[in-house]
Amino acid sequence: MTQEEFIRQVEESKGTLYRVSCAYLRQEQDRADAVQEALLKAWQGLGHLKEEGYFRTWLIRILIRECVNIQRKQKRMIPSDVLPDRPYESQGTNAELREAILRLPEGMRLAVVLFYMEGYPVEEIAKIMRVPKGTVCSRLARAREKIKETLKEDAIC
Amino acid sequence: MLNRKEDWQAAFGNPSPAFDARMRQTLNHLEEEKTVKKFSLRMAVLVLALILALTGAVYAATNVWTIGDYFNQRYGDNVNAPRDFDSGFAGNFTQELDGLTFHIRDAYVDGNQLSAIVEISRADGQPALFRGEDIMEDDPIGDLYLEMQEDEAGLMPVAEYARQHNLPLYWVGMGFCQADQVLTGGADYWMEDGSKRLAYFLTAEDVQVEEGQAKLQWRVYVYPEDGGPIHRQEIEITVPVEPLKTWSVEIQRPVEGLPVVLDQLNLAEGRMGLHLEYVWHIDESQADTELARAIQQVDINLWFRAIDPDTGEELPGGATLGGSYGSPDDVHFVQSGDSVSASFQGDTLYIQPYDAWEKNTYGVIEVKIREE
Repeated sequence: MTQEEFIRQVEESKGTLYRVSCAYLRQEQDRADAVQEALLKAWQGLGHLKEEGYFRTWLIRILIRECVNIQRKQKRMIPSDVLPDRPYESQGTNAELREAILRLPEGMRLAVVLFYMEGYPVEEIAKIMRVPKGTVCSRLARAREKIKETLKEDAIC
Repeated sequence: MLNRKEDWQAAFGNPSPAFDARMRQTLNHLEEEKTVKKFSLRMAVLVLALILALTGAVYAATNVWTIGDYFNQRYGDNVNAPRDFDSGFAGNFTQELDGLTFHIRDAYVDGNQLSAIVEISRADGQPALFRGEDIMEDDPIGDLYLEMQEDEAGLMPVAEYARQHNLPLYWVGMGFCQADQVLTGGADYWMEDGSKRLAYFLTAEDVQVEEGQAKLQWRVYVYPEDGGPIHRQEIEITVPVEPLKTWSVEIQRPVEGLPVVLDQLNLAEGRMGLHLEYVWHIDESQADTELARAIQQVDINLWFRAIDPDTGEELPGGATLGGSYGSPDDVHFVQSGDSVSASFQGDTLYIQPYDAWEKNTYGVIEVKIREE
């Protein structure tokens, strides 16, 4: 894969990378750190990617790894009441839905992002999350129920 | 109704301009980050080791890791925990669950930060492969056998390695709790002594301390491979606490070459090293300049570090669990997680601002950190 092709594919995946990082990290700065690290590692490790058709799946997995690393290594530097979480809110952001999703356990959250927001099929999500297909389905079903409960309305098809 | 992808995507909105800028910057700097791996004699030796491993010999790693080893070898190139570090831990805590033995080998609380090493093995002493909570079956085996990380052997999936070596694969986890709340922290893993033990390095933040001791619940988990309910149990443990000496130094000095003022240095000193937190801001009288915008948009990726004034080299880092960079608003920033080895006993630090993208450096600021 050429550098131009790499950049093109990354730019096409920008929204996905952003939303996957949102599933793990609450601070915008951390999300940018994770994506930056993931892109550098992907670029350096491009030779390990045997099939270019799996590039996006592969990149998402690298990003998940980086998000988990940041969670693991994160050190609280000042109390959270001094440095509040400031989610970036662009026009049209559905804050209620965001809160409902962020209340889900991590595994469910990622499944929701990949299935409902990114439109990945269950098989592909199973590969990305490294869990059986049945686990993805059950996580999605439980996530739907929990989001319904949180939103207190029958908002989900 | 949430029928369309766009309805769901509205939960997180669009990436911020700062996120966009960082991504664009990263893509613009790809070429200089590319490193080409060359086939060296060392690689040849490692490939030979792979062939031996695949022909039946279990990868033999005989290191017994200590807390100091984790900091020295797993946390960055420039981290330097004290070589003769002794935690003073004398507890004897063991749990058995599902035929596995969990034993705390070493534990240490530095200020309010806990580090511990737990050995996990089969109770009957038979070989096995253990994966920690975030290691998946098709992750590279090199994540568990550190010597294999840099070669092709290390890319074999964990499950495939277990199958080829006829090793049962266990999925395990643990956490430390206080008042039934799991403490935030991290974990790292390393197979020791062939396939006998998993050394599980666990950290926790914000440990509450009473009378020089931390009382914790140590919780262990085994995840059944059939996806059934997680098996869990816990016991109470006590770990001695090393107090940290903390203080701050007011600086309020401009950075030569940038519209930036270094306000304050917050320090915390323990046996693992001197932990540094830099508080700085963009000079508001110059906030409209191109340089100020470049810093805000991370075109200039500004960091601070402590250097040796004679060589210009960064001082060896102390043991730290990593840090973060935060900004309560667009002009104020706090960089934490930097540290200096416990071997540093000087009373003056030389702080060098630098641009992590371009490797440009700016005027060094001399800071007296200890009184005569």
